[in-house]
Amino acid sequence: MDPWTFWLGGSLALGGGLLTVTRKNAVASVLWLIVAFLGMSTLFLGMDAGFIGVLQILVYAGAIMILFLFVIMLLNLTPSGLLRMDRPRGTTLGLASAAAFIALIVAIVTGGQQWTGGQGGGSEAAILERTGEASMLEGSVLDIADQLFNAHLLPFEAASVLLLVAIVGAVALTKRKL
Amino acid sequence: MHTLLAATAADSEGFFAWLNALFVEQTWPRALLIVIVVGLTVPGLVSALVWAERRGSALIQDRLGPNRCGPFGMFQSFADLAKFLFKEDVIPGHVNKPIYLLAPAIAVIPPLVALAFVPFGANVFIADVDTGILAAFAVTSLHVYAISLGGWASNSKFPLLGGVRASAQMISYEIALGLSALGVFIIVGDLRLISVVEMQTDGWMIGAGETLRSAGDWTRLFDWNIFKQPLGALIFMIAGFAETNRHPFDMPEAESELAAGFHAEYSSMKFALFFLGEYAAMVVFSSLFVVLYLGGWTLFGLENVLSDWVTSYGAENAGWINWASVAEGFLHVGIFFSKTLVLLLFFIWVRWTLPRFRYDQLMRLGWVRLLPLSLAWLVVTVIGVAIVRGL
Repeated sequence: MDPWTFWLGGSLALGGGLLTVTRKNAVASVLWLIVAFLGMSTLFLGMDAGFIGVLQILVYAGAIMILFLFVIMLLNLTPSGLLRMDRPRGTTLGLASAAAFIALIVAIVTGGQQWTGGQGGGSEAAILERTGEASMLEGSVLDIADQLFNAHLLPFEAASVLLLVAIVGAVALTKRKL
Repeated sequence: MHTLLAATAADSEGFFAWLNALFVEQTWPRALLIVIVVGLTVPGLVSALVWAERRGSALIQDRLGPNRCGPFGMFQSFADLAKFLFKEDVIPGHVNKPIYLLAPAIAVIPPLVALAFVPFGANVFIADVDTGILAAFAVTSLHVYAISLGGWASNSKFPLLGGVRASAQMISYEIALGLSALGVFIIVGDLRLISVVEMQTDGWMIGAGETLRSAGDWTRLFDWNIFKQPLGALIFMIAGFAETNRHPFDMPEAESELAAGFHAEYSSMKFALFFLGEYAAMVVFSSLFVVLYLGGWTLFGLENVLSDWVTSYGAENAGWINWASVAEGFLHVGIFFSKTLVLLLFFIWVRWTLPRFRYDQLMRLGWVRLLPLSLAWLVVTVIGVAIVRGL
């Protein structure tokens, strides 16, 4: 990846994420989260994964965040109603899960050398050497469709059934009388 | 974006090679040139559309419309622009200032960026990306933030209602929009918009190897996707009206219910930016409709009348600018632009003819009618393609 793309996308994603959790105004948090998604999309585009990068914007920034915004605007959340940082249990749980996540990242980066081929990450040459196939790295629509609908059809369908269950559950919870 | 970045090496060195690169070949200076031309054309086109809207509404309602400023009131838009520029720019005291200032900018940027993915001619485009229509949809889907945030940041009743309406409406119709366009891509088998246009010169039977009829044969009109995907095109059109907040779906600003809706608290140039964004979104949607369903830059073979000349001119004048190719580019853009203009006038015609939906009717149409209908049409398309291709 072009280093400029990396630093631009990375700083947008991290800076946006940091501002998302520190803003007191819920609408401002949503906006910074969109900035973070745009940064992640930049990173994907920099890795020649155009399809994932575009979906990142289309699904997360364009659809899911607008639903967030809709709910926040509908409930008209005020900053005072959101400030509940004084709960000790919530703070402890949050710190614990953050620590667990960081531990996971550290374990992958440092301990997983055999997984990354032992030569500093998943470069194209390293993965080609390890698996003997290069086509998986192409981020084009055709390659991803081929992977989803041929190689990984069962997990893909299982995931869609899971989403369907979630939709049915949501409808069942909100509608008392069906 | 590969085409945009990967500069094609010119055949010969020197100034003319550079000029040729600028006008004929796919290089980044050429893409930059098209960016500048499109960026300057769209605001001008918008002012012409505003004039057409006002004269058209007057025609339909048996009035005169603007008729004092220039012939047929044509310079009225420039007078309006001057007014927007010199009026006092009021920022009400009760607004959330950063977001209030951000919203008009968001209104303009996504529609203009989306035009980067539209192929205006066989060789006239800014970026030929692999994800094509998805990239265009991804960018236009950000347009809704302008309306929702503008409504929210204004911090008063009617704008907030307009903003909330906009966010729910856009989400609802985006689904029908995407699903209806999917049928075209199942036929084409590629998301690139250039492939979509090229496929529409390929015969009525979905690329079954039919020999091309002669240039100018009007029956080639039936190669257009609108004849292969009539219901898909209709749903795409309806959803597009809702996505651009045009009548009969202009809920977010419904004057009779919400005063001016989301832009009630905006004045002077900031209001003008919302206006520009709305019309630019119309231009983007019309261009996408032309590409997907109306054959893009093709016109039953007429787009190829210059191709022999391009080849011979290029052979005779090697190292010189291929003016024949430039002329062909203008021909393609002319055909494309004429089709787009017809659709834009259709937008205006609809606005002043149909009454506005009620909000619950709008939601019911989106979720209960259009969504199942587009899914059913998708199944029909898949079966049809499977039969024709003999799968």
